[in-house]
Amino acid sequence: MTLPVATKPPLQLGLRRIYGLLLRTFYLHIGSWPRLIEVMYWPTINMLIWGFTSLYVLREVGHVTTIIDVMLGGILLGEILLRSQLGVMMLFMEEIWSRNLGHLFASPLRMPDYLVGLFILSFLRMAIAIIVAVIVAKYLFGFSLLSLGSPLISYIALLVVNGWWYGLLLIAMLVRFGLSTEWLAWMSSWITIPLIAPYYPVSVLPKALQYVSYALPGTYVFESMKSQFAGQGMLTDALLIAFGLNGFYMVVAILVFRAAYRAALERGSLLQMGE
Amino acid sequence: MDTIQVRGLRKEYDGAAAVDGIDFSVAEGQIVGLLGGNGAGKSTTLAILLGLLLPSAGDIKIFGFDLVRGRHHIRPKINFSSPYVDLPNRLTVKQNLIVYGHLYGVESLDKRIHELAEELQITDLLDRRHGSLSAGQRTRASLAKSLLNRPQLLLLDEPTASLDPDTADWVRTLLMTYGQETRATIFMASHNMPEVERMCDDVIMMKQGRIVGQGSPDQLIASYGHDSLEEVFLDIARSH
Repeated sequence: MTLPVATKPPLQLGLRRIYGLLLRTFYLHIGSWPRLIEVMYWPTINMLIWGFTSLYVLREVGHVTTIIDVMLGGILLGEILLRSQLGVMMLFMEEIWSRNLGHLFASPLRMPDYLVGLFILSFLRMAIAIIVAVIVAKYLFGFSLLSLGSPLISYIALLVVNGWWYGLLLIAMLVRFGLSTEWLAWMSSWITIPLIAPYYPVSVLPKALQYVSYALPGTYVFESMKSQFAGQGMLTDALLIAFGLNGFYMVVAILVFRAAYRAALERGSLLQMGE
Repeated sequence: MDTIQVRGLRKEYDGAAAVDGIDFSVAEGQIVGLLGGNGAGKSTTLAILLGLLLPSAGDIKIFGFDLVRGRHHIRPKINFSSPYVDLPNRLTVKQNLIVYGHLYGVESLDKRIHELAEELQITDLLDRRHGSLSAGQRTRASLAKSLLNRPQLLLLDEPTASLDPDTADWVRTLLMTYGQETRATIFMASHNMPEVERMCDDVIMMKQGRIVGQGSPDQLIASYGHDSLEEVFLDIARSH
């Protein structure tokens, strides 16, 4: 018997499924104000701590405006990376906590729809998270991220994509090994931050860690940012390396996630995952 | 044409078979019950049909499509309800139905939601959070989600679990009417023997991953020489 050929659903249906995912998160957040506050809370607190520290250093030492700019710029751009990866992970965790994975993955939702939805939501979540911190930096500490000029767009894009693939690797770990690895995933969210040297030169790191640092796309973004604050302009070559590394790691992350998802399908853990 | 065709289905976990080489078919428009004690392989079979569990071996076709390769064609036409898979608790019933309506590409979604809300008597629950519902109300909300896309194949795991006898009775009537009106196939796992006797055209009895009996409730009762399906079930469950 010849099997009927399954036709691919049209793009319109794919967009509608992504819209459904966006709505799911929108409803979740408007119905839970602590979640909304949490989104903005940590970047703002971070900015306040390091902003006041910078003011203190400036008052005591003086003439260190470049270092202060690097520090505040590093905090804001670091938050963009961190919130992007946490966004991907948090949104997946919400499905685990609500034991909704079975309904979601038995629906016509396709994996590309899900990943695109996850990335869009992570970007929106990051944008909301960062906006208060940017305002605080501008009006409380006189630091404007926009002083970086047009390169800022490429910095944000590179850091957001860096956050996406790293977040995807973390949820692959959750899918493969279950909720017992939740705390490991949380801890792993921060592990790359000291390695990408957001507030200090890479040369400060021990030699072995410098090799690791240069294997991470975020490092090149922060090197370029530091170069700009030092008055030496954007490092185009560094950003191209970051772009290439992001592309490579994104492909790896998608393959790892697919393998983890298949392993979950073999064990049936999508139905069991939850609190 | 058969809606479901299963040949040589096997699922192993660490070498132990949860489902051990079963074959069955379910014809279009039939209501078929899957019966068996705990660990018989019912949930495993349902999870495989839902595409949430990969089989170790076997050939499964739904609407004539291979379950894995043709999943994008199959999934818009099926749906399921299970008391063991929740809907997001922080969303209201209506919000959950809107989200899943979009995921299933339901046309005239608002109209469909209100139609289902009336049928399942959940109109007054639409603006309540799913997490605040009683077990019986959750079952009805989950059934509403499962009927959103007018599925041609409805997979149900204990569809009347947690419902009081009166509500359970009209839910059974509603599902039977839905099956008759739409020619939809309903494949359900249940522990409720009177429910299976009343609703099902055909029954598949499973034990230790294998099919140990199949036929209409009347045929099974007659072939085992008992008075009810419950006695047949106990006979099979307790036999070695």
